[in-house]
Amino acid sequence: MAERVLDGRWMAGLVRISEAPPAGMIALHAVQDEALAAALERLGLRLPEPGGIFGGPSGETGWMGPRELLVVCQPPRAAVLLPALKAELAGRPSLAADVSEAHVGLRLDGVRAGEVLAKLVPLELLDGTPPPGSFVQSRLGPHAAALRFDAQGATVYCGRPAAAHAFELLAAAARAGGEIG
Amino acid sequence: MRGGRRVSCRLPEGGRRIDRSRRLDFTFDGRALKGFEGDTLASALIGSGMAAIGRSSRDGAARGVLGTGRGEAEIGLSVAGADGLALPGASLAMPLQQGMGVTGPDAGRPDLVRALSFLFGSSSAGGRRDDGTVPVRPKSSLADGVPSEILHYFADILVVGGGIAGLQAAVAAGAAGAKVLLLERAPRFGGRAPADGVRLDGVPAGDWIATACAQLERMANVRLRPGCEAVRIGAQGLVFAQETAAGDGGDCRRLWKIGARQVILATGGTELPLCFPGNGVPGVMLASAVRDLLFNHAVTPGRRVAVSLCNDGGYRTALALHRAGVAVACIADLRGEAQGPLAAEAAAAGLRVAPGMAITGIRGRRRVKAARIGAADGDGKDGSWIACDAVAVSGGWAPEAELLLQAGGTLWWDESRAMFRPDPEALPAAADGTVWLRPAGQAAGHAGSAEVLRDAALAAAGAVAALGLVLPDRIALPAAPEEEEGPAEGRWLLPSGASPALLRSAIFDFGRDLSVADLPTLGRGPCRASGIGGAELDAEALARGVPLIRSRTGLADWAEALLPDDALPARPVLRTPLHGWHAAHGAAWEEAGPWLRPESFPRGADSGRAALLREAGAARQGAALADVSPVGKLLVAGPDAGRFLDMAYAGSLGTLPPGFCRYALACGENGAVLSGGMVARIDEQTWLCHASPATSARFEAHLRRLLEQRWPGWQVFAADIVGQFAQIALAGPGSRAVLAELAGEIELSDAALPVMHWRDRQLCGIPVRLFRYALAGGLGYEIAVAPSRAPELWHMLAAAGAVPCGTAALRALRIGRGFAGIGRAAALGAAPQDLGLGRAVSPRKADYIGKAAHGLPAMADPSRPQLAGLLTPDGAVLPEGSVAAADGARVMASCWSPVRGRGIALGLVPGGARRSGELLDFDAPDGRVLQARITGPVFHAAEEARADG
Repeated sequence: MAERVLDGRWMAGLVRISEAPPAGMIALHAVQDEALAAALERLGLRLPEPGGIFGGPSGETGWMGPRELLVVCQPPRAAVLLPALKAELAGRPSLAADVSEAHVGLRLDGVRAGEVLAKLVPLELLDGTPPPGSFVQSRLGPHAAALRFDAQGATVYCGRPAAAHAFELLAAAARAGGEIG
Repeated sequence: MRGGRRVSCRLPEGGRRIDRSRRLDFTFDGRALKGFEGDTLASALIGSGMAAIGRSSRDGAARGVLGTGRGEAEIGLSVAGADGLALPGASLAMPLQQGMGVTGPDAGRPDLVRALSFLFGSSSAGGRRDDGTVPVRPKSSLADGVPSEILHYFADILVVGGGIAGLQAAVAAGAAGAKVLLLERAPRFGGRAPADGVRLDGVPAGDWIATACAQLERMANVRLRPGCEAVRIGAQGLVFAQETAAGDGGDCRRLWKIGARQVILATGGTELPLCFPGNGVPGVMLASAVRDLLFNHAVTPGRRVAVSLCNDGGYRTALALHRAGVAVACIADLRGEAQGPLAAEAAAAGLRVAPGMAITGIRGRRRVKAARIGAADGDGKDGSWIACDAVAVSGGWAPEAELLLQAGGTLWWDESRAMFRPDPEALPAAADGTVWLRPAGQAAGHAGSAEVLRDAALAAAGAVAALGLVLPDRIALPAAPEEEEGPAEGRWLLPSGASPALLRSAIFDFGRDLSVADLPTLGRGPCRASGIGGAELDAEALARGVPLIRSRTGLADWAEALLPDDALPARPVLRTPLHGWHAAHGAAWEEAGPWLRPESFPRGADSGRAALLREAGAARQGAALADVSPVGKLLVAGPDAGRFLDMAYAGSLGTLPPGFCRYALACGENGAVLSGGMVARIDEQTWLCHASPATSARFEAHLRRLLEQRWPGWQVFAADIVGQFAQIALAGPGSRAVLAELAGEIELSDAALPVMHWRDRQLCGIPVRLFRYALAGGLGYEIAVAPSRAPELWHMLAAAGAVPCGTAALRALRIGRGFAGIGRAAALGAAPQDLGLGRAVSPRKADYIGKAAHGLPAMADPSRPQLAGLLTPDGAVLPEGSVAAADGARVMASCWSPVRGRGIALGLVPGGARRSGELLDFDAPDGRVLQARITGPVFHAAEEARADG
């Protein structure tokens, strides 16, 4: 069971910021074609469209790039899915690796998530966030980060070593009085 | 006495910005003064009768407020908030706050207060205490202690400046459906038009402005941002603006990074002053500033004001003063004949107009006492003195073009208007020729509200068309009077017949407080932040005698640091999974690039050296435990991964069997070391590449570039998994015994886990990947473990007798073995062969990146800089970065050796260790000169071999 990196720390300002529950994550590098879609389908996953994260019975699949996907699932499922993925993709050029502990998810809950993120992410977020189900690769301040948006707010996935600093950055951006207006 | 006789004051009524029911207390040099809510610092000081509030940095002469605009008003005052702490970015244009403390240059130590300048105010902001030191606001809780933040924004059309031109352009652009951002540096929109008494559509300009703002606010695609100032144009369409935002524990500064497809500069103009002897005396102000103070704050700089002008606009000030009940001593109009409706109005009001005359001298040092009215083309000795306590001057208007110049636009000299104005034929354009930035209105050199509004509409139409949008027909221009003013006469050095000696004291460059006497240095003085076009323009302005009042440019230092998106903060922000354990066990920290790592674990009152001795001793005689989690971990997989790594690394990796690992170096095309680390073959198609923390980010980018650009067809995938594992090094002759305690049944013998092999194992039920390596014959392991299990494993290893060890001991032992560290070697451009690592280069491989360079004859030159040991005769530590001037030998790595009990150093020395015994003089970065003798690069090996045996 993954240890909580932030020790249960959270803050409430323009949005509520907390560590997302631990998730199983698998980095899946492979050419995205129909064969891959079929392989994912057999495992209860879906091949997402660019910029999206698609849910299936086994977990969600986020688009990280033309040859890269991120599978997000319940923590125990990763240990089952990884060998299954490798078996499905045997003979195809691919790389599948458990990265459950490499990334930490930070939750931003609240309608002002876009406003807070606009201070740290070089994307057009101030005048409205992307629709729920969007999954974007970008930066959070100096750190590489992936962002997913949903109806309640957003989740930022960043590298585990950067998680404490990312939390500080988000907390400062979300401080009361920091509204853009 | 400071400020002289306090004559200027607040008028009994008027002032559209101030709320007379709300008085604010503030102090100037300790003197209690009062202002009103809505005052600026300038209006509050002048309203309180303060004239001399600054000093010339050049000769110490008293200086007052020249204008109310931002640029020229920066006279280096220190401003503190009610809490006594310096306010960031203080300027005279900032709003007055209750309890503000303003400190002028006469308080505090005289040598410190000379730091005053008219230049960029933020550099001189900072409240001084009585002793002259500057109390700095304590680090805010905002990230990195910098009370500042960034905001990213994107717009189709960015309109800079919210005067009537900017509003008109924004209305048009907004109606066309573009996403518009309108920035205005003042707290309110409208610019100068209301103070100038302009009427639009038959109503006062203020009403038209309110209507336009209301219209814009109704548009969902338009964002209005008052109080936000565009200060820098980076690249095409990248504009930086700054504003103040609320932070906890004080105001915070916010930098907007705006990506704009089209930019309209409606930044208005700057009034030019006149250059005459004494024009720097406090009380001499720009006519427009006098008018603004009167209109907005009901403040006058004097009770009897003389006016000197070369254009019709200055008459507005005289009339406004007259209407407000302030005596106008005289209006000196250097033009031979005063015509135009405004001059006629002044004459009708009974004001004394002196055509062909100018103010040619000032009496008074700390404030104006009298002005000499003489012939504008005289020699400066004629005319008569008239009593007055303030002077309003107007030398006409110049477009505010700093942002245009930054964007690559140019100015041309318009003789008929006597101004430098933007060249419409040379506007900043994209590669395909599409213009992306347009000046509009007064910023484009237009005058009169009708002309300004027409030009703004044109600029908006141009921007809208460039975006492929269509301007709706119903955008109407307000009816405005044509040509309210007659032409100005471009003459600024007054009187024009004066001898150079007489003009010496006239201020010419108000931005840098330079007088006519300083003219030869103009254009070569301290550069302004953007420097673009500056020197050339200065030279031409000088030739034409146009005074310089270029407004503040560029960004304050605080914002510069925020410009790159991915700039890591100056403090380390990355933490290893064992951070909590280190912190709980009293680690002394080291800032290793972005990582915070334990340097050592001092016990009690341990000195650093005692900890180093203990930790290094454990690594040599017992077992030491070190957190090496920051090491880069890149998984490379695919059918072509083997041949890819064979190209990327100098060593052979494609033939490495699964279960093996090998120390490998990667070089650049020039043969210099890029990165290095242990590479493990995981399975048939997968390799795990470790890289030293200092080089891992750059190395990963290098590998990705190779895959994308050089061998795009190769089937190789790379995944950065640095955070997935904590990495623990276990080293020393006792390490196998420590591991055995945790391993239970697991075989650790040389047969089961040979040197340079790895195995996936379980230690007390914790899954680990165990690497066994050998460096200089020593016994060592690296253990990769899930971050969540790392503290548990670390704890058990420590309990089994391994001594936690910090980076200092690791480093000392590494240097002692003759390894300088890949990061340092890479920084100095050394090839593997220069570092005694030639064995990491595979000569049998047909090709690898850097092979060509390694084959060059220069590589075989025995006099190349190569690795050598360096020992100071007295045992002192030779500072890293020291250079021997004689032959260019450089110190790469240096430390105090716990083994040798003295300083040891590794250097790149021409000829290398072959020159053993020679003494070299090294210049240390701290200025000392130290001697060191060249030796072999291995300091510890002999003892270690014994320990291992």
